Amino acid sequence: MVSFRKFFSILIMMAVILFMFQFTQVIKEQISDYDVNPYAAEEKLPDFGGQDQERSDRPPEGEDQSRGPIVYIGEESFRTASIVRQWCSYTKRDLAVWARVREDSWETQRRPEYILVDSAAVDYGKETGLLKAYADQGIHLIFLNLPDVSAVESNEMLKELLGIHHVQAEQVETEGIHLFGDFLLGGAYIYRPEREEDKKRQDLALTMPWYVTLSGTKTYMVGMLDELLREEPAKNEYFPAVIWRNSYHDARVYAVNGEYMSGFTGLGILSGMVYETESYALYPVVNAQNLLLTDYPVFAEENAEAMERIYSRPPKAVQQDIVWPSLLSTVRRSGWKLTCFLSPQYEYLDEAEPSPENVRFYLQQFRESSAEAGLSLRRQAGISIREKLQKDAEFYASTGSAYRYTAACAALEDIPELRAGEEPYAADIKTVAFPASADRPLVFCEADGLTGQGIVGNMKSHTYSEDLRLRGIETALGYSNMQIDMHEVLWPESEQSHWEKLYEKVSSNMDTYWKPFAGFEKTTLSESGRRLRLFQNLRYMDRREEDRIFLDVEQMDEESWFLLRTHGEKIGNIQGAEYEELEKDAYLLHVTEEHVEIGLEQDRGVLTYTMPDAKSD
Amino acid sequence: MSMQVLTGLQTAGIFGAYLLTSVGLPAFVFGGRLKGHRRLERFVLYFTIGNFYMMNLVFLLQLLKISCPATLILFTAAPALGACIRLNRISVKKLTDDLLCCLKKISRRYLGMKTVRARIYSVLRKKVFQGIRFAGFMIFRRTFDCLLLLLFFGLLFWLYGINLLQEYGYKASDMPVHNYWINALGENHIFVAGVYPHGFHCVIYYLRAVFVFDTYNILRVFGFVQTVMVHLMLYCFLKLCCRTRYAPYIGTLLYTGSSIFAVNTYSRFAAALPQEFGMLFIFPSVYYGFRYFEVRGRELAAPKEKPRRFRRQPSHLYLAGFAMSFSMTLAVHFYGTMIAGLFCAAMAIGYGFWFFRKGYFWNVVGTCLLSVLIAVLPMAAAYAGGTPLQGSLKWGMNVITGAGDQKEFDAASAAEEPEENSDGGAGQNPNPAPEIKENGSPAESEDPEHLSAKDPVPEPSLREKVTDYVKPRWTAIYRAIAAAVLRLPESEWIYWLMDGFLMLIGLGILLFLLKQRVYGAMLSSAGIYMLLLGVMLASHAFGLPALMDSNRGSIYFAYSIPIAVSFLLDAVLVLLFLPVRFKFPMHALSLGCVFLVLSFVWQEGLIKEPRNTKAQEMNEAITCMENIIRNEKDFTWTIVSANDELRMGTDHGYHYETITFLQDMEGKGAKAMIRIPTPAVYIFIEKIPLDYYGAYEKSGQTVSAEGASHVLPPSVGIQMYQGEQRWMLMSRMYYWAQEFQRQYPNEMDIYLETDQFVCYRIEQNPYRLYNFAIDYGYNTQDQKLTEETDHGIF
Repeated sequence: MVSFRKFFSILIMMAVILFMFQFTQVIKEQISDYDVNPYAAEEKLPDFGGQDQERSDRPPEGEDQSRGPIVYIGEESFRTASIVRQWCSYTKRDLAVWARVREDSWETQRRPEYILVDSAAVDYGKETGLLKAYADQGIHLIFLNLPDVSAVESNEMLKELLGIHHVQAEQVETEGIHLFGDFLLGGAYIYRPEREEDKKRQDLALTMPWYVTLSGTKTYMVGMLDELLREEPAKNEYFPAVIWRNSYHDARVYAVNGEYMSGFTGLGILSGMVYETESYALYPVVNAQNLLLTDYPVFAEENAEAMERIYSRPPKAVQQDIVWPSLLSTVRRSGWKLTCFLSPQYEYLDEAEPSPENVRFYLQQFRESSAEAGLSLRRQAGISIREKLQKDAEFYASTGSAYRYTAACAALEDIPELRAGEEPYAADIKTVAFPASADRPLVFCEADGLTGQGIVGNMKSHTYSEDLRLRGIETALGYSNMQIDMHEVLWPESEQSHWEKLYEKVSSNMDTYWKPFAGFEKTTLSESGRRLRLFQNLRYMDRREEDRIFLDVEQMDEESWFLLRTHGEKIGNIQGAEYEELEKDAYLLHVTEEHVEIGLEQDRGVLTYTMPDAKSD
Repeated sequence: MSMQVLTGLQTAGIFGAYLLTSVGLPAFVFGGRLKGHRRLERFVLYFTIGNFYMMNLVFLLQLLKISCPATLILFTAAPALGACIRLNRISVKKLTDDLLCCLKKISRRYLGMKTVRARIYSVLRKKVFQGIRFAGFMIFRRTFDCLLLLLFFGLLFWLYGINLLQEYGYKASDMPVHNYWINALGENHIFVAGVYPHGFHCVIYYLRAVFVFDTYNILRVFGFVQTVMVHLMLYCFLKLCCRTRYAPYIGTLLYTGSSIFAVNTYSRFAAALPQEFGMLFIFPSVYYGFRYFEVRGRELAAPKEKPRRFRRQPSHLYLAGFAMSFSMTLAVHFYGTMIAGLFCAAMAIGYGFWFFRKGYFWNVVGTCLLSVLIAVLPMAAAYAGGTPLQGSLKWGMNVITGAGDQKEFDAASAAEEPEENSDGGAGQNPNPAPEIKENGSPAESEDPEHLSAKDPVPEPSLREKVTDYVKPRWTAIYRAIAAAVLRLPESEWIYWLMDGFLMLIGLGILLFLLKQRVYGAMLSSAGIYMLLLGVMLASHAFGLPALMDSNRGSIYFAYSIPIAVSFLLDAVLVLLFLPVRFKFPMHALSLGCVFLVLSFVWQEGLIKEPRNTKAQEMNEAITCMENIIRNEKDFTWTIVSANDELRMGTDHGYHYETITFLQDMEGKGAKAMIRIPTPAVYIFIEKIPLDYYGAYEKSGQTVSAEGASHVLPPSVGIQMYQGEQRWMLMSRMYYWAQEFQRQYPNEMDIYLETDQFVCYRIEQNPYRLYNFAIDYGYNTQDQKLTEETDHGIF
């Protein structure tokens, strides 16, 4: 028998507990400003002057002349041209394009610092001497690709220039590719499938001419031949060289044996080569790592039959109860910030209409998980972008939400339409994610401040070439923009598109391959867009005096990020910026003042025990 | 931390470790048993036992091929613990019960950790206070002893310690060889270069294995450690043998701090060499002999107890001590055994009154045989197993048989060679050794036979015959001492000293007759020993084979002179005060003599100056070596250098000889292939090349284009690292480094640079090694001189 007094106590306790649980939720709902996009805060756009992609051979008045221009020898239509142009734009270097090799005329032009050679533009039979003459003058040469192996084999001068001892074979099938450390960010990696499931990831070109390099060379990437290793372990020095450097008098001659410079990987390779040539490398980076969840959520009950069959739930429940909890836990664990691109509906010709009732829920969820909501412009074939925008306008109006959408995901050709439209929900778009391709800039910034951010890859897949590309882009820009395509889940074409399968791949990739780049900040697309504007806008000049580096940044709006790479030195003190060590000899600088002074200290080969009158490097 | 501080700390650590194992551990085990003995005697006994155990344990484990740190620690700790329990009659059961009870209390929280700590601290505090009290007591009671000891140790540090802190490298040419042999012990390969008395190497190996010191660091500083111990053993011996309190200080301080001794008698103390290590055990073995006769006499004089076949007698301790010490002299270096053997022979004569008696003879002879057997057994076993004799033993035999001389000995092949530096050494001896003819007469003395042929003289009398025989030989000993041992301001002083030997015998006989029999016999033995040593030094004059060359013999002779001096003074004072029962005046007089001698030495300016013995490796190289070992992971680095670092870093990394390195790319340039398969490669280059065991005409010149333009010297022994050839090699290396740095500016750093030395560090990818063979200009042109004709580049 419970006494009245005890009964009353229990009742009070239950009431208190109920109040405690409910109160927090009620308060959270009341005070939550989920209807506000925190990443779309009104900001003063930097005074953007536009990108002068092409510059003359002569430097503009008052610009740093200590650094010579980059000369690209090749046609504008070559695949390497786009990469070289982008790299020059990102690293703020002047570019001169020569269709053919010219005799030097530095009296009228600035003496180039690097000459980048696309072999398709060179007649090696006649013009090797000219290239050699550049090297003799101490101008660094970068062979973005090599001519036919027979042309190399028969050309002694070219072999000497490239540091090739001999051609072992015209073609060799390698087992894998070994990328050595201290060249691209992310360290060394062996692209050779050890397990059965890794074989699917192998998509690198393994067949290549077999060049054996001379003394005085340094190799950054090789093809692997197990056959040689079995014979004698020390023979790995004879592995076919893929990327290497030769010291030719005072010049450094780089060679790339393969088509690695035709894609975005080339951006990083060029940055790595400059780093290897200089005593340090200091260049601006975007410092943004985006994860885009495209077409999520979809507010129409589309493809319900398939969803019921696979998940025994309607599409709304699949997205809310299955996808979101699992994705959220993974994203939180690995520290990513999601940018979710809402899609009212995909099929506009059916009767299933989007329901606005869940918008509030998702906006709340996004707000709590530091995610951003954006607009997805994907639609069924047969519907124009204009029609979609108009249709969606009704939906967004019905939600009653005041959320300002500043990010969108669209094909490049849809962007003009998007900007021309007068739909209020799309009026604030400042950045657009689009599928990237090597012939167009990976990231760009237009005069009105709209930024375009190429989607580097899909998180469900991480092949060897994608890994190499990621390293390249991270090295050059400190940037990645990855996508998880939810359209595939809601409109599955095979079992591989089922969420459980996709989630397994996505979560393992997300946790694994971005670890070396954990020093770069995870951002939403709008945050990344802002940083991109800052990155594109700034101008800088740097110089080194003994163990001090001086960096002067112009057109910087409050902050910018630079990557500093050294050779066995570490930052001892710094003024005007903060820094974080990304990996050995690589530092991310968060620059907050226009003048930065960096004091370097020896990090490699430091003496623990000293003796008087001794000096170490 | 500076290298000087590091070297100081290393020396303290290695000294401490050596004292702990050679004295501390035996004291822990035998402390209770030997409580009744004099402190110094106990110290010498512990020292003997400790070294003997260390040496023979390593020998045994090496022969069984199970020597490693674990077995060494096990076979040190377990027998020590067992012996301690047995000798001190500790009840293991009670000990275990007490321990378990204590642990039980702790585990059940009856006893808190705070209380346990407090108890331990209390015990420690008590011990520390006891120690301080004892030190205070000693200072108060033995003030002059303490002051003189302070002076003694201060002198040792000033004369030998400072040099150690200034010159870090090896100071003898054969140190790399010893280093190599000790390294081989780490692989259970004891007779790696042939049969050799490895006692010294065993001790160094023991310290290395148990205390995890690097061999090269022990060898760098052990010279000082053993020098201190050698002097300390002399002090202990004199202190234990003399009856006056302060007479021992005269001999010790004269030997330590006066400049009356030739440089070559102490120049080898700069390095850790087996011969000098062997000196540690000579006088202890002699002391045990003295004490044996003394104690045995008392035993035999005491009333007989019930006879028991193997009854342990107090004298057995000294026999055991003698056996251990004597065997160690043999196990470390044969020369030490020869000297100890000479002293034993002198003792046989001096103690002849007892020695040939039944109660002594077989005991002594048996002990001698046993000690020889202990030392020879491991070597004999190896020799019987087909291991040949090590080269230096053959050299030693040749010296004895006269088949060769010192010059024939190749420094690179092995054994010790006294270093001869520009600032002193045998080479600079102002009084060269006299030429003594085969018949023993000095060369400049007139030949009696030659005279007789011209002008016949009457038959000489017996006295004249004796005089004719003795005088030239006496003069020969004098000349030998003057040439190689002493640097006295007045030449007569040497005669006085030699007369002192005779006086010592005379005083010994006198005191023997005055019923101070054992003491008298000891004095006589010492006198006879000094004479025998003199005969050995001038052996050619006596038509005897040279047991050892004069340079080595002079070291032992100088080491024995303090005995003669101290014993003589002691004997005189004892004789003077023999009838007096109250001995204080005798001690006071002996102290007065100490001050008299010290003031004389001071006034005459006979104070020994510290020798700046140049190391045969630059300080910078040792500094780099230390840093590399400290900062790099083992076996991830290679040093390209000349010679010495080859053996130093064996436990940690790899070495590439400079000459091989250059020869491999000579004439081929970049077409040659030199791969060094470690991530880090260090290049040692001497910008002002070292005078490696000998200067040359242009010593001190910097590396230059002229040097690099010479033809590479041939790789023979260590000749290419000496004289001008070293300059050529270093010049070549310098220009190689310049060119390589031009090709790899970001990969090649200066690790350490001074005006005379530079060390480069090259970091390479182990999966894609650099080819170190490059065309640096001098290796591909047919030795043509470059346009750069300057002779110096700095």
